[in-house]
Amino acid sequence: MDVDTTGPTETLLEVADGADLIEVLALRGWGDGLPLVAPTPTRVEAMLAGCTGTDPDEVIAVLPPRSGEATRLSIAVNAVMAGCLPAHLPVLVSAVRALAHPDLNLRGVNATTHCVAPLLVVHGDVARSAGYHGGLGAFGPGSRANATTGRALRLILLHIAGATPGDGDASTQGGPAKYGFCVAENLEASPWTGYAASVGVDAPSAVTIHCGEAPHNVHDMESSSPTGILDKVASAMATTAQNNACISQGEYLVALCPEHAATCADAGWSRGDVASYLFQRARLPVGELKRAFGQRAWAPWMQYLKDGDAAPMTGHPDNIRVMVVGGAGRHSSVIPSWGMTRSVTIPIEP
Amino acid sequence: MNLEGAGIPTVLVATGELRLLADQTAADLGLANLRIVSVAHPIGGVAEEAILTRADAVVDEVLGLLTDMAG
Repeated sequence: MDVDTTGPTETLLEVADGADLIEVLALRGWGDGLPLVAPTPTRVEAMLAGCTGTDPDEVIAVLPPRSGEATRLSIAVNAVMAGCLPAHLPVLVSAVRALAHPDLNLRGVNATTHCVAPLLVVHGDVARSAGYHGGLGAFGPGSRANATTGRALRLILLHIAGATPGDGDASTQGGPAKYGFCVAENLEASPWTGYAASVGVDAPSAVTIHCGEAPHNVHDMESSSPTGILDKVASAMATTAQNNACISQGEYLVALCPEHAATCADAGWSRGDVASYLFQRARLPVGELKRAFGQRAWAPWMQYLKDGDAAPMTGHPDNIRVMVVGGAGRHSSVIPSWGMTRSVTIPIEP
Repeated sequence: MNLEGAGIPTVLVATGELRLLADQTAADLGLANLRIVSVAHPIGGVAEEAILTRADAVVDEVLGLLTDMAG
């Protein structure tokens, strides 16, 4: 199929009946390799109804590396392509705002050779009203809201940010999370207050973006006390086989399953207690870390640790972010961040 | 790229495998004519002696780009 891509930027692409949309778009460098929904004007207009009363042309964020301007309109186009419903658009718009927060360092996230992908976590009322799933099998597959919103965020990174493999994304191996990485916090099954409120975002609905690796499983069927469970979580954190290992500002998202969280809460442990315990227990000998990493991005105080000391895997308990995700069963997960990034939580726009 | 953007003459050294990323990033930042020199990939995991050899191989090119710019 011959396509003229030398002309001015297209705003409306005509595709013949029966044409292979994946191929038509791929010739322009668009798409993620999976089938896409054609973003016809009618469908895009219907999608924009999800953000009634707002300006579709307002620039929500400028996204590196290409410095692409994300508007509600261009976000809606990608939402249609990914299979989203209009109720998902406010979540997606807010997620794009979070991506552009300076603390998140999206330029680095997109450019690194690491496999990092933005994990979108949906909190609060919108999770229920728009169908986001935080229960059994929350990381997928099966939930349309999770799958399509996560995918739409990746399409936005490809199409608007320009994070295409090679010239905008240098990831050595890529990763399955780069197709879509979205989940809801299971607030109904959490023994603690919502995660967003715990980081100072007191809103009915919110989103968090945490740029990390794929989830590392932690299985504990036996323990009846927090320490048995959390020692295993600490073990998953205390490894040199992750990007955070030599970066003291690195964050860990600890996604506790409801049963593990209940064991902790029933013993009187708060979310902060869990983080403090993991800070104490997730450690490696300084000498081992020095042998593994000639260059370390450590906080000044960590530079004074001796080889025999046990170095914490991150510089502060607040870098250990705890929330409840999943359903029945006793499997939790640790999602180490890329390192040179901070998670961002913001309210969902009306 | 921040240095060049601030008016400080700069040469970016990138490995061949990541040259495309360097070119595109420079262009995205409005520095399409940024002076970029390629060296063999990879740098990570390579002994310091070999790195110095690669640096020696491009130092004249780096100096030439800076000299031409000054002239």
